Amino acid sequence: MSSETELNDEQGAMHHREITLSDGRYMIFYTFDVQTAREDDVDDQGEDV
Amino acid sequence: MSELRYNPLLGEWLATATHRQDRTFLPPADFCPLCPTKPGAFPTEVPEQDYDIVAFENRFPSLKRYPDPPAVEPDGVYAVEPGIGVCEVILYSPDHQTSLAAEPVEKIHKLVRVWRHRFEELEKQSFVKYVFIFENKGEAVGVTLHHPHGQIYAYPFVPPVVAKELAQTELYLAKSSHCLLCDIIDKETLAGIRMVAENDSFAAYIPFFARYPFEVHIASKKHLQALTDMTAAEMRDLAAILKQVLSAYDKLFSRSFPYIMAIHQRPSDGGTYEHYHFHIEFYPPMRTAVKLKYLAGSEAGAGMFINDTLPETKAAELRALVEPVEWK
Repeated sequence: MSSETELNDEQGAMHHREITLSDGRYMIFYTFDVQTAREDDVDDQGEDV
Repeated sequence: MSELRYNPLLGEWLATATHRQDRTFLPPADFCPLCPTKPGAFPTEVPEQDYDIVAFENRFPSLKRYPDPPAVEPDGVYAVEPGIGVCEVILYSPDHQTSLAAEPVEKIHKLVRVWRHRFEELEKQSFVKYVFIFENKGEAVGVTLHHPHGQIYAYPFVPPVVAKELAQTELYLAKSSHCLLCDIIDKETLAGIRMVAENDSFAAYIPFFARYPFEVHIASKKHLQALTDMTAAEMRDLAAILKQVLSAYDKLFSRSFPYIMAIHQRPSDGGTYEHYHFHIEFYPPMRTAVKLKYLAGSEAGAGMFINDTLPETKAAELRALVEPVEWK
């Protein structure tokens, strides 16, 4: 079983994909579409995430 | 088998987890269970060939979402409960040889975002009252797997160290109308003698009351209770100051520096904790390049730590090793 979610915020998208292991435990893989720090600095000023 | 037993002498819960006796113990790098599974190689716990950051339930958990019944019945002064909770492992990198200190600040920033997401997700569970994010690094603090990783314990109660901090900060607020950590941060940033690093959002210092020679606390300058209160800029600043402190640690004795990292946030039990203040505590066991600080009679038996060094001296040593952070 697998599910994937995208969490967008001004730091760039963070994706997480969850799978279920054979013994029933969950495992979540995180990946990122990261903006450059300079872009973040401009975009993020004073904003809450 | 795991269960929670209550210590009525100290008013604290502890977990018994007998299955953990059989957990993997310091395997050779070629048989690391936390590396990605490579084609033709033995299957690790991670059934994929590569990853960035991974979170998963510990194979040998102290607490479980669906716990077994306790091995014994409650009896008079003895209380016992099922060991309910969540124990997660967070893999920082597929690279077996790296460490959080060696990773670029961008990667530490990703980890901060994952911490925040795991905190948000775990505190949604009705049985979770406290989410504790931590890392044990190095054989000196008892790690059983060298692969760079941290852990999260989601407890069904507020653990005693945080409970004590909550009580003390509440008492201080009642007496002074101030936040205790806010006052400490003001004092440290003004005095400077125990400061290690600083940026717009965080201060890193060896506390006046340090128990370990190189014990560093990182506290938010703004009065925040949890990762979920942070702005994007604050999360980046947290990554940056972590990079500075961890890099300074590794430079100290020219080795990968062992430590326990404990992230202290408000509880997740629905209560109001305006008096509490987000901070991270590091407990490194090394007191010199070749000597460890042990928890001996006074520390373990009486709870009074003896620090063989002055925080002011050790802060100066660490501060001299802090370098600017370069974002790519």
